[in-house]
Amino acid sequence: MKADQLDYDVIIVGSGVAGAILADSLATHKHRILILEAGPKNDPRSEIIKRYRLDPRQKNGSPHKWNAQTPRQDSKHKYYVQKGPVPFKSQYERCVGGTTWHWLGTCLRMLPVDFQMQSVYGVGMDWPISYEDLEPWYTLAEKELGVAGDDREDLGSPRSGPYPKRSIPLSYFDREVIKFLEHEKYEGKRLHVNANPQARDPDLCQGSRSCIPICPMGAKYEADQHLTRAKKKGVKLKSERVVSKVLIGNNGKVKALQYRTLDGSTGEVRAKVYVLAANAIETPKLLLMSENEASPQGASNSSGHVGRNLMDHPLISTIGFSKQPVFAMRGPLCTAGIDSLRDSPQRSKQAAFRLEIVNSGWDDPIKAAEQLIDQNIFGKDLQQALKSRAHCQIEFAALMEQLPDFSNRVTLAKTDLDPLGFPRPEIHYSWSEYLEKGIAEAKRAHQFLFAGLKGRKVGHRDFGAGHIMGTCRMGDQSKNSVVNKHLRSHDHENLFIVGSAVFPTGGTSNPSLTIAALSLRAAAYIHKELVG
Amino acid sequence: MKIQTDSNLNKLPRRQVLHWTLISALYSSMWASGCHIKTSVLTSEVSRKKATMKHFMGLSKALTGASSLDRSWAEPYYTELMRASPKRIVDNILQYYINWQEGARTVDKKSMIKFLLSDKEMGPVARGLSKMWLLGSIKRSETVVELAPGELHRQCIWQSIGVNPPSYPVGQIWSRAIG
Repeated sequence: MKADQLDYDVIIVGSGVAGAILADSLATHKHRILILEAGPKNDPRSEIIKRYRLDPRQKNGSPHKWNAQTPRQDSKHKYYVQKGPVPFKSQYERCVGGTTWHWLGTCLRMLPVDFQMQSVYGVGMDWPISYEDLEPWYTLAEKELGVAGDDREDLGSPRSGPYPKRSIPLSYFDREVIKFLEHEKYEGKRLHVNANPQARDPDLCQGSRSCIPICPMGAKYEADQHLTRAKKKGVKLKSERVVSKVLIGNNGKVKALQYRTLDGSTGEVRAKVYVLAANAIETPKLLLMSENEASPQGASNSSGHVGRNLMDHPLISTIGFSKQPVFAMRGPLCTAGIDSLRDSPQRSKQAAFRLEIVNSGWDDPIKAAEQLIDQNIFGKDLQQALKSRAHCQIEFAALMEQLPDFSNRVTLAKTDLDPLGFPRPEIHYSWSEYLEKGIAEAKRAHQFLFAGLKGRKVGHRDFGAGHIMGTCRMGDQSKNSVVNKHLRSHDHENLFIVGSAVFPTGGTSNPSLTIAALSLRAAAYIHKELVG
Repeated sequence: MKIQTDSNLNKLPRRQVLHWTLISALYSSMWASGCHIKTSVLTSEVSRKKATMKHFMGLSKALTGASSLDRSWAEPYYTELMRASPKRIVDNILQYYINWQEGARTVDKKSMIKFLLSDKEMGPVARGLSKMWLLGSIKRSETVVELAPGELHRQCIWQSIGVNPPSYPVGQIWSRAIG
């Protein structure tokens, strides 16, 4: 094992949105920063797009080369060890820039009440910070990500400043839903369609409708933007360094990080402060792999909460056909949603949800054409059938709130190793009655919207939203949380954790903006610590 | 499935390119020097091919219902269809169409295509032809669809439904109705 001679002020593990923003922010103050990224550098965008277009399957993973570090879930490259009872369906990218390469771009703030679920509704856990504490950082994060939004809309999260960019235009489908909701109430409540605040440049977006997995125009925020800026400020980024252990000194502080490169060689790096920004699966995995005599449960795990309280926003959608065309399959995958059901008095008993109006369509036109041709449909009839099937597709999705559950967890599959020889993440995951009741409600809301569009339901689908949260939650008490409100480990004073792993609860908003806001806040705190 | 594209033509061996260049030059010089007897052989060959392509396009339009099809794909698709299916059946289909087109037309176009699709031998090949134009591919098995790599934009399906293939920029048109 060679000892890396370089010393840094801060070493960050992970180069997704959380790590990239933190690095860029700290580099402004001239701190010496190193980012260690497990995955590879990405090819130029033109190459990535080409790879996507060449892959006839056009899957989420198509633009990126498979590598030993990439947690694919298909049968060939299975990564998670699923212990159930419910399969955990959310995934992530392990590459420079992380999952921002294929995120949707939605940038919702959490609601003020999302930070006080225990106090207000008697469920979940309160955050050790309030919405008011985070609001200035939300404003800054929106600026950093270049969020486009409509200042006239009230999404329930008070704002101290305008959106940096004008809103992305609504889709034809969004407008059809608005027309219906002008005249009808859902269970006595008026529902409002709001433009999605999103980290997307309204001037660059050209409706390429491949936001996930890759925007060909670069219209959507990607962490690469902050990484490029950070590198210009002197930040060092080393890819294909898989951190395998957090080494703890006798004083209880982290003394080094051990990593392995893809050729099997190992190294150690040292800094004053260490920040784990490796997402809510890899961060707890690394901490659990860092067991030692003093910490047999793993690093930063005196509470036994590392890996616990794994959450997602299970995504439940209803698909079908409308009577009149809504012209789906165009534009950004989702331009608007219904935020009116993100909070209600029922939240003490059932999960809240956010409704999304999905532009992308659900029926693959290639398969549809094959089916129609195989049914001997031809000529003008074929053209008409193709149009009708494509233009009348409708889909409503619900991002479901999921409360923390101690038994939903990530642990180490010690006998089931990944291609690098590290334990795979073993996932124990279930849905609570609270969540199931919320899902039933979401389906009723979908049905209401279907009726409004005189739609014919085809069925339901469920996905992971890719919003992996919990597993290293923040809290005031070291007995039931992993980091404090400054995201500093309760156990090791020079160790910080950023990213959605620290969320005590997940609300119903897509987590990236909150991740960015927390990273900016943590950067300010770490800077103060470093300068004394 | 591999269909020869323009870019692939550029990759033809130099010898083959030279061969075609020489033939082309010979053809031009013969025409210029008045070698009418010899050129008539070549001319008839060209005319025959042109006629075949014309009927191939006509049949393709009748099957797919597309108002316009890109003529530049006719030859590669025809070649691919001949490669993927028994030549005899492809010839039969075309002859069947030509007979209808140039004959007495005792049945209307719809009935003619219906008969073609219901035929045990010609039906699957005709359906394959439809798929080739609409999807840029022929389905070779029940589960595998092979697309021509990187040629999403030439699948007529997108034109038919008025939507851009994923990852191809189209502009901010999503607020409007199609058509």
